[in-house]
Amino acid sequence: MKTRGGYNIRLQGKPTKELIALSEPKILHLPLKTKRFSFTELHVKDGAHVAEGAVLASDPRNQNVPLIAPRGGIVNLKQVPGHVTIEKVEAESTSPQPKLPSLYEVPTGIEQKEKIVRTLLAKGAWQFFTDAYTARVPDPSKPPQAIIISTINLEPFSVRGDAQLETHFAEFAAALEKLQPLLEYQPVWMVFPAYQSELGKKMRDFARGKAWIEILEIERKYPFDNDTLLAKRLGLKAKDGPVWCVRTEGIIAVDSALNKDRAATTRMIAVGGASVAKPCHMKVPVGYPIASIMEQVGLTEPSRLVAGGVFTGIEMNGDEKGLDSESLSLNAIPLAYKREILAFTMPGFSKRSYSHTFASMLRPGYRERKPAIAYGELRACINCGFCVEVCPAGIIPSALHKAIYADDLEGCETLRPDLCVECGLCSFVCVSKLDLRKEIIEVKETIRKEAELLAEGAQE
Amino acid sequence: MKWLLHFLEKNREKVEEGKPLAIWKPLYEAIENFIFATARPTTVAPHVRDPIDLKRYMMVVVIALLPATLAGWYFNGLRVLALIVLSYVVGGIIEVLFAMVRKEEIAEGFLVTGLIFPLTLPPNIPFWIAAVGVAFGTIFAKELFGGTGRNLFNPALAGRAFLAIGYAKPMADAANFTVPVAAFPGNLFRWIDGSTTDALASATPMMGAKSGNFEPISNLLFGLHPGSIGETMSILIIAGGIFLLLTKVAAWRTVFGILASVGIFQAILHATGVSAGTAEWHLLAGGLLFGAFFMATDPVSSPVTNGGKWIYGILIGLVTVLIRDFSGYVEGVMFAVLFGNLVAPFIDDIALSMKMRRLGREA
Repeated sequence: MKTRGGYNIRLQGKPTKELIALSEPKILHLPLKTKRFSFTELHVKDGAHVAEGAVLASDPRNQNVPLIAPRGGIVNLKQVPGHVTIEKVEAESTSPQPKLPSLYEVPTGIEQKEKIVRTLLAKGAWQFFTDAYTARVPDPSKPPQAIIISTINLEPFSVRGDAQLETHFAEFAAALEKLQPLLEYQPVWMVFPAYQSELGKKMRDFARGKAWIEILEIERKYPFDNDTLLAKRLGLKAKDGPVWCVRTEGIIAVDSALNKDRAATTRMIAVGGASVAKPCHMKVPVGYPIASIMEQVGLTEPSRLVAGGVFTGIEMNGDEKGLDSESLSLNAIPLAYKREILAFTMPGFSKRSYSHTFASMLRPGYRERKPAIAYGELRACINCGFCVEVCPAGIIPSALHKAIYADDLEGCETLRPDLCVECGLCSFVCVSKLDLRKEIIEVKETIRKEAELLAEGAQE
Repeated sequence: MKWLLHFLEKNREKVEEGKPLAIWKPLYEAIENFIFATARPTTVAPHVRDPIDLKRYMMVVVIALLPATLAGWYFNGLRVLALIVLSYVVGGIIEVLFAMVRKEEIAEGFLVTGLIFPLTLPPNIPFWIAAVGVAFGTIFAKELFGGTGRNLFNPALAGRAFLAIGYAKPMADAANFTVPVAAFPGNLFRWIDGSTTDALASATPMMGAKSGNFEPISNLLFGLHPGSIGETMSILIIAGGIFLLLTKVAAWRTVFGILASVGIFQAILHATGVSAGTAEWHLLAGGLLFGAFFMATDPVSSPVTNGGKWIYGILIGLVTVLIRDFSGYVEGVMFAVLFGNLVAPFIDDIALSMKMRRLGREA
């Protein structure tokens, strides 16, 4: 399949490969809600004494993905709402440990494949796996039709694949060996950026040495690293079974789980954005106080903090005290914006646009400081077609918007919002400043609920 | 300008809902947002946005129209400027009135309509007729459909079509066209209308062509012939059009669809002896270039799919040739584009369903 759309924006504040190790804090705050997961089932009581690796909570709706204590201490469920707080104590605990939920026990004498996936689940590595077509954590008991391992994260700014691989190459390689027994005949695709670098050469040589690994090279254009798009590009059909997608960080977590028998609770994250003084990578445990992280990198101005990248990340409103178990990056986007006079008549040398209507066209290769500003008033869609051009899924966001606006759910369905990969490029380029991504996600949800209701009705 | 921003911010509450001045809110907001770029923060992901907005988008079209406008002024005198001001004022008042009644924002689409409309008129057209035309186009082709973004027809063209039918004589009267003066400063500083002793045209190239009189190509390129204000100097229209294509504001598929189909159909008709005009003459004459670059590419009234744009362009080209060669009308671009506007939704329907079926097979 050919690739469609995509667009790279070059923003200021790209994290360098530098890796900062942070001092251990006294307190960790583990959020019970992340972008995909809600850890609704608690397995510890307030005041309990837990050891490193204890399961604190789990998400029953996402294959029971566990929330794991990155280190030992006393649990406090009340200190910060929506968080499990773990306070470090000096004295060794004498009180009994909470029992490991049976779900996460890996009994001996089971088949090797099952043993591997159960270990991955119990040690917190399974949450890094995604099914390409449902974008959810896959069912570990159903064998995949293929596994896609992507070494690139293209959203600005995510944890960089090259930064992770340079420091964790040995772990990456060791984990892959352990994953091989999961497969019978299914292919494993490794995704690389299509350009030459020393690391890229090393990785390709490594992959070529393995008969069971196939290589896919892709253009470095956001969001071509998207799981669904990769699966489509490889011609894998949804009806042929799940496609497991996992990225560098997931493979490193697999190494931790299978080779070191430790939960993958300390990870590399990227901290970037235009208002970060020192954008870089950090090695931190889950639950690390956000405030300490930002203090370390230094904020230059009042900013919006986003868990995740600037296209799909979630704005932090200050209630989140610690790094959640899913986010791999934090971005700080400046809020300050001086209202320019007659901006629409100005040449705009410092404004990069998808449309070529600014003089920045004449100034290639610079990185732009972009505030969290819509840059315009909300208007009716004028059909300019930019969203259609950038859409990597090939759908027509503008037509969908009109169907949504007209409350025509049936019309929406024929325009296939289910194919949307939620990259956010349509909202980004929209001349009329419509929040297309949000609208499409909402209509997807409505259609899904309607279908569920229908199915229930049919059963009765 | 700080004092103005300060003033606006201080008085904002006076136009809020429920206050006596609330009815003026659209105008208040339009003025504020026209002068000062909005600082509205993003509320959902993506957290950063492209700097383009509707004002900028429309402004690019205005900039692209400037060369042709200046040529129109140079050849036809100061009256052109008066017509442009008139068009902006009449259309602007209507736009503001509708926004106030609807309690909606004033959309920036009028930045373009207000300029493009007078450029399609004969330079010496009576002012009141021009005012009627722009009022008709704005009210019936745009506002009644819901304003910018929801119109079926290009408002400027609908206004012009209304005049072409309702006021056929002044619109086609050769006396309303001026014979251009090439030597500097042209008619830059002169006021010309039907009452002065200036050389008034005997016919525009399109009228001449009906009687087998073909204006030389060089005259078409450099605007040395009578015609509507903005359509005469092909070379500047092409320059503005290319700018529009480079900025991605106009869809190249539509433009090339029109130009290619007119070129090919006309070449066939010329080669078979049906039509006396050559392909290159028809490409440069009349309002074809102006229509192809600035009228047909109006995104609101064009199809949204790429395939649809090709079909739309080719249809417009075909209808233009049909009208020019086989009807009593001297010029066909206006009706061809309006016809294209009319069928655009159907083209879109078909193209969309085909595209969606293709997509369905992929996953």
